Amino acid sequence: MPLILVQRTLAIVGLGCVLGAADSWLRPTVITLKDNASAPRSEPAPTTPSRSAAARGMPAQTTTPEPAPALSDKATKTPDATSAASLGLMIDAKAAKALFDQGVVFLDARIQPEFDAGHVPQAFLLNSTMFGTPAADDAMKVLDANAPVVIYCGGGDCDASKNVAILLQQAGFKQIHIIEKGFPEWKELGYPIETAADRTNAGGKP
Amino acid sequence: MSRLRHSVLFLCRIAIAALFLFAAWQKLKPGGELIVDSGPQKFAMAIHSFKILPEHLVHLAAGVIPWLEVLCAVLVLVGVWTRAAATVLSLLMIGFTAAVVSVLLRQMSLTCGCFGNLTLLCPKGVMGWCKVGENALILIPCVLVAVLGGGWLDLDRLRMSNATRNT
Repeated sequence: MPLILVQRTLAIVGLGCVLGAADSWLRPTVITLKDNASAPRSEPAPTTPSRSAAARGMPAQTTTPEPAPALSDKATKTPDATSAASLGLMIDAKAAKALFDQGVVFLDARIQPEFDAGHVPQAFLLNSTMFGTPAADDAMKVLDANAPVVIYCGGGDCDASKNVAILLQQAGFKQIHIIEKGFPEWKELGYPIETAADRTNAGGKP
Repeated sequence: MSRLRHSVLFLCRIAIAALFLFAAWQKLKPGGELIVDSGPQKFAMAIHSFKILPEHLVHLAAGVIPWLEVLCAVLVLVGVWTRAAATVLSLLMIGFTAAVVSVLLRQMSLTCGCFGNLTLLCPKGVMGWCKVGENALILIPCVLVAVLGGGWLDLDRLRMSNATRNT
């Protein structure tokens, strides 16, 4: 009897492998852990509301919910729907800068001290450990799930962005982009950076 | 006593099948126009974030595990090769639990990627020790069926009793 059990167990595992291989072969999207993850072969053209609409009332980088940041003229521009939608999951800092210029919301998935030391201007701190807290719940209420968002962390082996991306996906967000090499690449290219002190000097709001 | 035992085992089979079919669907559902919303992609990313398997094994696990869950759930439900299917599911649960424990011991903040938006016992979001307890709870019916068989309407048992009667 135990021998039959072992044989049947192995047979089930074998059949599972065959089914998995067949599914991978037939599925129109390709699983990838690095670049342009699971982008459908035909590109969608969804609408992309602006950062001003998406971020209105968004809690800030602290765990205490705060009112929305005062958005600059640049931030109220309507993002280019086509360019945001045509990008894959993983993007580089140059593509992120283009989205930044279009007013797309940026989320910083790092920890508070790193965020305070320097972040993308008007970015919001939202890491996976914050999910389930009132601050994150409030953030999810005010962020627009139909608008594109860009997430970044420390780059390299940092998976914080992916974790936040998964949580946002579960919350219904449809256009998520991750800066593959994270904040270091953004900084290296000389793009604008804001520190906690800058925000405080600007009026104490994020 | 035997009736109670068969009833409990039958209910265990129904619960296991429903749970694993749902979990498998979450891992297999197509993503439509969403960038990272396809089940396999999310599951692969979840496995990858555990930092336990090398990338090629992440692809293999993301492809095979959901179909193993479907196959075993169907077999357990209809009562064919019930004990073997429950054994595979038990092994899967042990593997999942070991992975969760490993993540917790390394103090990583990760989500599970197990049941999509459904939360069974543990709060939504980052995994904690609650997830280990939840997995242990799911493991119990799997082990019961693997050790004791399928109970009522188990085709394996019915076939075996017919064979015994004929001889």
